[in-house]
Amino acid sequence: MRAAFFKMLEDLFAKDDRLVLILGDLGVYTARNLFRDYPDRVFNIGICEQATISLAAGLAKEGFHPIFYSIAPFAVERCLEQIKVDVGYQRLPVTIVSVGASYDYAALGCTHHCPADVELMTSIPDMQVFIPGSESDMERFFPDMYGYMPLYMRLSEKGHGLDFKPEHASFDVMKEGSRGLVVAIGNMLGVVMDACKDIDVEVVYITGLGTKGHIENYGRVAIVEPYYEGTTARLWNIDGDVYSIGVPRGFLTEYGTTEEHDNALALSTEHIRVQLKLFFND
Amino acid sequence: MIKKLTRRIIDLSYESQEGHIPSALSVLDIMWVLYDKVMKIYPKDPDNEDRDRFILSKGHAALVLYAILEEKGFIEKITDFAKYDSNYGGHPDMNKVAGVEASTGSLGHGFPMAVGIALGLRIKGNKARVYALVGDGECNEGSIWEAAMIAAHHKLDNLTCIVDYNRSTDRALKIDDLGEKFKAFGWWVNEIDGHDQKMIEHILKTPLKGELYDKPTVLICNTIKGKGIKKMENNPEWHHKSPDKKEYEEIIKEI
Repeated sequence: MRAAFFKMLEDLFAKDDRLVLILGDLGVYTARNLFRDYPDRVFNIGICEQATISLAAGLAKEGFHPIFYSIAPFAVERCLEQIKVDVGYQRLPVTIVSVGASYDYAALGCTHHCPADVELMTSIPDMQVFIPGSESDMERFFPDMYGYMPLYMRLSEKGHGLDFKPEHASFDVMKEGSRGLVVAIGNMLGVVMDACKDIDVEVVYITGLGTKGHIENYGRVAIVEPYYEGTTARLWNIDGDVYSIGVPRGFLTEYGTTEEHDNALALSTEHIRVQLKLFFND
Repeated sequence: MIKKLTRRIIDLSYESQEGHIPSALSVLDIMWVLYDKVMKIYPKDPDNEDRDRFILSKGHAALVLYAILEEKGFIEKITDFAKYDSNYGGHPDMNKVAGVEASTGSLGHGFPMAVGIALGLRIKGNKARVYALVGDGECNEGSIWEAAMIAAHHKLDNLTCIVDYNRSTDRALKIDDLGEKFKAFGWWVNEIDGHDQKMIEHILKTPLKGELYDKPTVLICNTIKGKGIKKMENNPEWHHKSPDKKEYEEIIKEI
């Protein structure tokens, strides 16, 4: 999604002279057209994430719509207090865009993993959290989301892979069924749809966590999330029978590929299919 | 005026039994000169685009900011400092108080925000200046030096950082020659007595050499924490303490 993000920004910069892009010395080559066309509003600010978030708040205070882009642990965890106070508490329209998701940089190890990002960002009141599962999700919703309130957008290396353009920012019904509900979040939609092919459950797709809809009306609910397991259920404070499938809580100490991590963490299609079959007694 | 504002700071703290009095008195001369002699301010139109911006990065000195904003007519007389539903908390809130540019309190946040504001003004072609007041203890924070590098790299000559160098942090971490440190980070450095109002005014009103050399300017102000109240001067016991009745009466007599 990274290349598509910068392509989208080229279109947005042409329309919005209040957009400012701030890079933490990452994505500089991919953003080369923006550097060329908007040298006064595109900055490679350096590897100093804490000051960068405060600086972005200062730009927002002057009426700009700053977007800070970096790898998730540096964009979120390194500067969480700055995000909480300077962006969140001051209610400034700063957008933070992360790449790397939970373990997209699998080979680089724990320092570059960030399965806690959504839990941390949703701990900040009024922070909008957007988890696009595809480039078309991002292109469809992002232009209307930034510039009003604090916003966090989590980009993944791999999208859900489906040819699906969402109608709503959340709760698109992807499949009908009777034994319960599966909530697929962001890029987990692809594996969920594969896993549920022969399971009699309803599948809904969401890219934001702002509302839990009417999911408590379903007897049994499974949530398949691309970050720490249980994050969404805790945020929604769901009563009843909920089963969360996500990244297990604990340090990821291995390297290799994302697929190897998916297998080791029981997040492959087959692992998820087995877990959902057992949960729904199907 | 300094005696009047000192009295106001003491009264606000005594009435509420809250506030950081010595931190406020440490920067009173500096801030009064800024608001009275240097900055372009619009008390009845506090968001005027042409205003100079002041960020109290060491937000725990809020009492002095409130006293000056009150004196200058930005806000009505404060009667409820630090009370439950007051607009005037122990740290300033930009969404509650006219004239407050940043909600500070966590050290090391306001200064980099000021750098962002200075950068924003540059992009807009706005000629207003930005003044950020930081504490020497605050200069322990890495984000101060991150921001210092950014400001120098982007040649933000519309930015002045004022350091309240009262050496209160020496007991924890000696930072020694702050001027040399800022110089090494690419700033234009001035060092003065932070209670010499004439000098503060002279330095801040003279075309800053930093502007000539496309550099941000730092004013290292040597100050006395608790200035003007003998029992508070450089006495850490008073850092976050309000006077009782007896102490209050003694302090008022001293003022």
